[in-house]
Amino acid sequence: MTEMELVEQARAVLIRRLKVDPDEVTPETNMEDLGADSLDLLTMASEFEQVFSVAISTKEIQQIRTFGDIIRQLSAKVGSPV
Amino acid sequence: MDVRRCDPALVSSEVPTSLAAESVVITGMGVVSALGTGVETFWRGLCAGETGVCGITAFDVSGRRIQIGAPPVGFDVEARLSPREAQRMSYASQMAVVAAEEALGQAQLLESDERSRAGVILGSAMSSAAASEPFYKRYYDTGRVSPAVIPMCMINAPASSVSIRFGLRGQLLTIDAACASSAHAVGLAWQLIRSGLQSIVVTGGSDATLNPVLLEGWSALRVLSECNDDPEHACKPFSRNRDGFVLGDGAGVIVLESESSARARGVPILAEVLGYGFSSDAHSLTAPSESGQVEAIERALANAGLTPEAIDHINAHGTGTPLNDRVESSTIRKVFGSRTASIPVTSIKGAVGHLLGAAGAVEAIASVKAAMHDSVPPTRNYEELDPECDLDCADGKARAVPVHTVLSNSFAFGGSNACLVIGKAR
Repeated sequence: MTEMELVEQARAVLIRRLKVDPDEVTPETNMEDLGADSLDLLTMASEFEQVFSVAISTKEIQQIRTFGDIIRQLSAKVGSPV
Repeated sequence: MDVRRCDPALVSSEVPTSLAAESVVITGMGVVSALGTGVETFWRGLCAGETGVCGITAFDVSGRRIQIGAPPVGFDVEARLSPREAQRMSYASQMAVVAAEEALGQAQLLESDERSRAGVILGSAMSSAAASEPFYKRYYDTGRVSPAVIPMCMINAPASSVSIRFGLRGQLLTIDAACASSAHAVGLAWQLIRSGLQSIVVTGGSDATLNPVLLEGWSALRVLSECNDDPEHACKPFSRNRDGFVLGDGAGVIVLESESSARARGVPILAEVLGYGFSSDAHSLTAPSESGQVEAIERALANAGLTPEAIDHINAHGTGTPLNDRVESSTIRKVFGSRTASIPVTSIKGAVGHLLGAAGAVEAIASVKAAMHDSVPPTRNYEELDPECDLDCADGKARAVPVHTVLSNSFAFGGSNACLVIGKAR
């Protein structure tokens, strides 16, 4: 999977969950500004785990502030066995 | 001597006149829990600092994030229910019936015609979902469903089972307010008796959530302790190194009665329910709110006609999650101010797990026992001081102190808050 494909798939999860426009989601976008609460982050983390076949720890979820944080976490994991 | 009503400092001058009604007392209790089936076994285990948290063996959890729970111990369904009865009841219904039998026995109602006037109001949150799991599986595997799915899985099944089994013909209701369900059930029963609409109500709660699907759901919420390698030390309420709670199954049933009914029947009075407070956070499905909790506690005290100075002990909601314990500690400090450090606060969730819809009732029973015996049970697994939870967390051993009045807190997902004030029997 290329970096661009990873970003687009992650963006698709966000848009579906948060009902926002694609151009609202950039690496600098703050999740709070998109209206995401803790339950949204947990639900999206569960979906990322399924889509990308990775495991995301509770601590990592708590560290997410921006879409960029999500991309960095997923990039580090994709390609590593679960 | 009832010190509460003799000391002007403890009595509120603002008792709502609409609530001037006769007292509501407790005449029977029953428990099914990970510390044992039976109130005395449960209480002994609590005071000894024991825990029923263990590795889950009822179903395969290998490779799962959460592998621990607090299933009931000493719960011998075959000895307590006929095969035909047991077959028609969900697990939560079975536990409710067994706990109710103990409570009604202690209240001397099992053989008495008086029991027909009793109502049943129980709390439950997940038991319907748990009971329906095998029926969904059978449908997706075979396309067929037993008609038993409806009466076994309806949320009113535990309360109905108790009513039918013991011939209780008063009000029959189930309260679902997530983790505050059974505390609200006790509160509603208290209101019914004070209003004169009922003189006896069998109340409390029963809940079951330890099944593969629900466990995975709770696991995905990231609120459960991941101490799979050391289950006996999982769930550390208020401790700095806490990492979440452990799910438990169980039931707590209390017989509430008007004082005049109890005295007319000549049955021993165990304790008194002095007040019930409630509020809604209107904030978040999963995160607590200090202001909502403060309101519930203050309402409970006001309904009890007492000031915060009257409280000798707090049985906390104390789930062991970073967020709940921090917010609840702040709430307690807001209400009790400079007295906070002198009030022992116990969470029993490290001992019996989080019983969800049954938690409030089982914790009320622990509060009653504390008042009966002037003994504060320890908070199992409290290890390190968290400056944000700077309370007397009753760590170590059970503590012998005068306990006249106990506050029991239940703060739920969805923002429903319920607080009970329990008083020593006069």
